[in-house]
Amino acid sequence: MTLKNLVQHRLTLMLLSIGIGLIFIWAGWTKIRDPISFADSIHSFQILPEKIIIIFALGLPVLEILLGILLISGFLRRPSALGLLLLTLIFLVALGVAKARGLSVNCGCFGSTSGPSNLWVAMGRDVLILLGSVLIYTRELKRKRDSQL
Amino acid sequence: MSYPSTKTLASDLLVFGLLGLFSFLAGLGVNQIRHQPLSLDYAPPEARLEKDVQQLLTQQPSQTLPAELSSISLVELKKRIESNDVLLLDARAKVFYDLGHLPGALSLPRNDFLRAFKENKKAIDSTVGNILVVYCSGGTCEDSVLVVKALNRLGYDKVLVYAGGWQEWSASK
Repeated sequence: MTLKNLVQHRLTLMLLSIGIGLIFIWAGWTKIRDPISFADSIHSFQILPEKIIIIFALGLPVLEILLGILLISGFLRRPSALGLLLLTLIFLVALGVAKARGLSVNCGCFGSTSGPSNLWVAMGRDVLILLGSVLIYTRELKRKRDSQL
Repeated sequence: MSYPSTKTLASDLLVFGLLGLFSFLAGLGVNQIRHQPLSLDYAPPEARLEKDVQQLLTQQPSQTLPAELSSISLVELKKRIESNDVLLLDARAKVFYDLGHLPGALSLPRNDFLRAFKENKKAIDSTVGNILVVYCSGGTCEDSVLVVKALNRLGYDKVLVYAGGWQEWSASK
């Protein structure tokens, strides 16, 4: 079996969907349990104005959990994969900007931590999730196209 | 690789947008049924801690601040723990305290200072004459420094920072 076949194999994509879905469900759950710490993490990036930090800290974890559940269940999988792809891209850009500005940030990716995060590790993890999401999304597009033929 | 048509991309983005809207409204709704709903006005950690201290200061008078923060090394801390003349206070979030903490340490998280201080006040006060040592995760974490400053404001002057924190302690075991 070639690498391309392996990557596009139905089982591989199903496992990938379950893996990425569980990661986002876990990430969202840890943030929902301690929203103020997640708000502090968002604040440490110095990107969003303080007025909307709490709204993001309350809404984003719910969105992560919802997208994770949808990705695993298969219902609305294509838009969910696109959503996770965009979210991960935004996280990646935020981490990259923080790194470039030399900020000591607490990424808050999986709930609160009491110290600054290793941004390289967080960015590496996001790149992997991004690749996985791209793979799932393009596969879902292909499936839609095939079903229309 | 398959690329989305404009129509498909637009419909996927629309669904994502609706899911986002639903999630943010649900997040705000869940907040309202929390035991202690978050105020939508965000205040940074230092400001929240100051508010807690101000509230506590209405119950007990403020005392003079020590000019500088004093710290304690791992070796000295271990000696003091052995001679049992130190009270350890963990300034990390409670979830990390629950996962592991220094022997005998009490949880006094920076992000829940008011409640935890009231809960542990008796134990803290009963260490009169002894020393309070505050730590967090180690490295460049700021929680211990903020908690020491808050305790100083509340009149506790024998408070030290263990800068090595949980990281150094667990590595030394």
